[in-house]
Amino acid sequence: MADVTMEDPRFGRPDILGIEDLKVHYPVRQGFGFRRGLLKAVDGVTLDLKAGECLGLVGESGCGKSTLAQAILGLVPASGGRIVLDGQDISGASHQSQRLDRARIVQMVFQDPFASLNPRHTVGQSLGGPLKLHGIGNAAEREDRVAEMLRKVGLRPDAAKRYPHEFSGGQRQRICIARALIVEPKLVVCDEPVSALDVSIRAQIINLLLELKNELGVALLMISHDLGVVEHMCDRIAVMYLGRIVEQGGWNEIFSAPAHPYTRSLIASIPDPMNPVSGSIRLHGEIPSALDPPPGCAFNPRCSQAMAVCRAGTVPEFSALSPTHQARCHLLQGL
Amino acid sequence: MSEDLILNIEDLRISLSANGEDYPAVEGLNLSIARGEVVGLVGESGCGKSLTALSVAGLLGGPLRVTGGQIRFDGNDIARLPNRNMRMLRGNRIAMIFQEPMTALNPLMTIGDQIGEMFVLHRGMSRRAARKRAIECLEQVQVPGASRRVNDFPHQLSGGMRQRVMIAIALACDPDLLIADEATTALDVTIQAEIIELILDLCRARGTAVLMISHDLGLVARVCQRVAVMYAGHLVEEQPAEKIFSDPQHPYTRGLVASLPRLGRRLVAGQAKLAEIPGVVPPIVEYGKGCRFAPRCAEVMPQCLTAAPETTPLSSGGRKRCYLNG
Amino acid sequence: MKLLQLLRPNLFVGGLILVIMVFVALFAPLIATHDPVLDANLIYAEEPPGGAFLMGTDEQGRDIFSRVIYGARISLTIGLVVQLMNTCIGVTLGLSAGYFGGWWDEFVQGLTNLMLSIPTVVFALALMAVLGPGVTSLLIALGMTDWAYSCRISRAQVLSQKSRSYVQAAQTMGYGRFHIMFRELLPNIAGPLVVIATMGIGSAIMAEASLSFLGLGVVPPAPSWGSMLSHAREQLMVSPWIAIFPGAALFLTVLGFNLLGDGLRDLIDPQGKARRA
Repeated sequence: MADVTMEDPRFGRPDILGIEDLKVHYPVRQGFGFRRGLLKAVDGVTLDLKAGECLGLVGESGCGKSTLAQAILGLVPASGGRIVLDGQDISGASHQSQRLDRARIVQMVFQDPFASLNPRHTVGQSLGGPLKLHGIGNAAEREDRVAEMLRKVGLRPDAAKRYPHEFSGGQRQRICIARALIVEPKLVVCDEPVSALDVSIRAQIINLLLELKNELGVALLMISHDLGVVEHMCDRIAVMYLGRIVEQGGWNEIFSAPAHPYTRSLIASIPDPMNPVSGSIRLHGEIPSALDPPPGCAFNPRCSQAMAVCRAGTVPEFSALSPTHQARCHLLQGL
Repeated sequence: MSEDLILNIEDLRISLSANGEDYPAVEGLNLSIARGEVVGLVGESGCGKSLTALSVAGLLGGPLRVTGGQIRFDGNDIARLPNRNMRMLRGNRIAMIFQEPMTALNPLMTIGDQIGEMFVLHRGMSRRAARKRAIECLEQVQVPGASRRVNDFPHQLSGGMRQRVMIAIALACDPDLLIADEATTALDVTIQAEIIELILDLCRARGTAVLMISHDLGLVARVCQRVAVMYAGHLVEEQPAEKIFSDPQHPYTRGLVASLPRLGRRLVAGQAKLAEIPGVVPPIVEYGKGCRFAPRCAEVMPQCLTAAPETTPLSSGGRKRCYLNG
Repeated sequence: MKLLQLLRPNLFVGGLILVIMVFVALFAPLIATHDPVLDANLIYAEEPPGGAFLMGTDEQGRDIFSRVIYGARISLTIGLVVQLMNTCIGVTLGLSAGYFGGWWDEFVQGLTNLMLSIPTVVFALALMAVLGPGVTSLLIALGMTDWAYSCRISRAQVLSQKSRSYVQAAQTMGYGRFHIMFRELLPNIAGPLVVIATMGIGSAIMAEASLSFLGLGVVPPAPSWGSMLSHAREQLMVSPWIAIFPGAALFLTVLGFNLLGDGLRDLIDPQGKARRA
């Protein structure tokens, strides 16, 4: 786990999440069933998240950010490495009791508000059911808590009697946020929480998430491809490419001084008129498949500054650019 | 002036027939595109931007019909042209690319055949000649190993590659107008940047005008020369691209620009709340007689609710539909 | 759901037939004119329809009308119980196979294939031969052999719903597997299952009739439509009414269930109509 030095503003705060060299590999059948390949969705990720912090996880298709989120939540098993949630090592098999404990620590807000609420349950059932499951309060207390949570996310308490299809996309996402927070978790993973929403209501949800994070002191893991949202919301940012983290640092460090060529291209590609169009950072080629990653540094086929060592050699180690900022690139070694 | 316009839409009205009634999905739309110009049409889902595009290509069907106004393509009104005449224009002079290349491409034909089809159909070439041209087209859209890949089927290609094939098919016959409907929305952001650049380069070389449709205001403002903003079936503002973000005139555009988390904002404003536009986009059945944004507008006036504003010109050379400031 | 939709022909006609049948079955003692078993007077054997005997009498002098009325009780009860058993077995197996996957799924699929490759009635016959005649054996034989279709459908539905994020949300919340299968997934796949179950009652009734026809199901003198048909075979040329009325009752009841099932399917899945047309 990366040591937090005294210069780091996070010094002194407890770790909510600690991931050490996490691997999620899927065996796949290739061809007609004889060749066995290995899909390395997550290939050695080390991350940590402190209480009340917002960490942004960015990357494109195939980078493994969604698989990483699922592994943290226990939806997919880890093939290697450790996950420590609020002090407990949960990397092993998941029994029902462990599942319940984990649910009180980490929750998730999903991308599609239309699919993540059971259409046959009322909002009250979707919010109150978890309280009942975890034995929180009696029936009257649960009802109060549901009403309180609905008010906190900007909905009227009578929403509890209605069904999801009676609400708009933005309202449904508010319900999902309420559901994630109702068991008072320490960490909420938000997987593209606003991508499926109309542009004119995204601000409402972004503001709500930040407000609740500050009020309840809950840590957020924001997974998004929208760097504008990530810059606004996150304290720290980790950039993933083909299952590995290639750069990590404070938000300001990443956006004003990106070190890894991939991070620079990502930022240069942001569709914003204030973003100068710079040809030299333009990437070429396709994102390779995680089934067959390029040897050495996985980014080398698309990197305009690739050297021989990048193609043939080992995966680069992290170089520290500051106590809080590190990137994995052969170009930075020797600094 | 009007000879310079490849597309001139005037007072367009598209109606949706449902439950025995006609709903004005798009109303009073005025938009013009000069030859070789790149114009962006921006709006949220359900605002009518795709319907407008489909009406230009003559692809409205079923309950949707053009019930008013004109669509002048190279001087001729094509709004109600019979399909057999539209087929001669489509692919040939008006081309369209879509969001999902996997569903837009025929899964049972090789990409070479699909590109070649354009030449056989519109230029009367033989299949052998068409195949040679298809390989050239693939090279132009930067598909590596074009002479081998020409025999591939769509499912053998990645998303970005398939989008390039769609572009090749669309630009095969050097059309006068290319309509790109959310062409890069489904792509990763680094691939998106490449594809947009490719489209613009190829169109510039051919003098093809581009109508770029998207929900992403930032993208459109970055690459287009002019930007038109739609809301609930009305075109509410149209300005040169640099003005849309720096000096938006319509309350909707202003609200949108203020609500987007922009690069560099945090350095100036910290994590201050993003400006919110209250309410939700109204469904088509709730469109009233007045301005369709009025229920959510912070500067609403009594006249906004009784009748929709007319399109008025702006000093920047654009247009707006709003009662504010005259 | 507009009330007008309930008046669509399938639903309406099917529903009407079944309401009549259920009414008849419930109020049999009040509707029937004679005792279906005891009122057997050879003097009146094979009387044509008319007078005191609305549908005539059979070869034992029993009133066919009363026997048909009481036969409705037998058919409907057996049909419902059998279908309930089959649906429970099929849904439980299909739900768990789809959700758990792995070896259990392979096993259930193999079993389903086996069941689908053997004709239901043949299988039931074999079981009856082992279990002996009588209503209990009939229920076991029929109630455990026709679950394959509902198993397959529930499995397919679970597979398509399993990856939806409300299921992942329930898992994240800490809900156990059985809660997720029966409280989260089942309500969302119930639609097509109701349709299958409804139409399955019709087949269950036919199956019972077939077995009774062969002498293996409900034994005479109990008035099962199937056994009535069986005994009417010899008299078909001479006294056709002995066969016509039970046959018509059987036909109408099964038709009613099929129409109802059809109508329910249109209600639940309107797009299916376009696919069929």
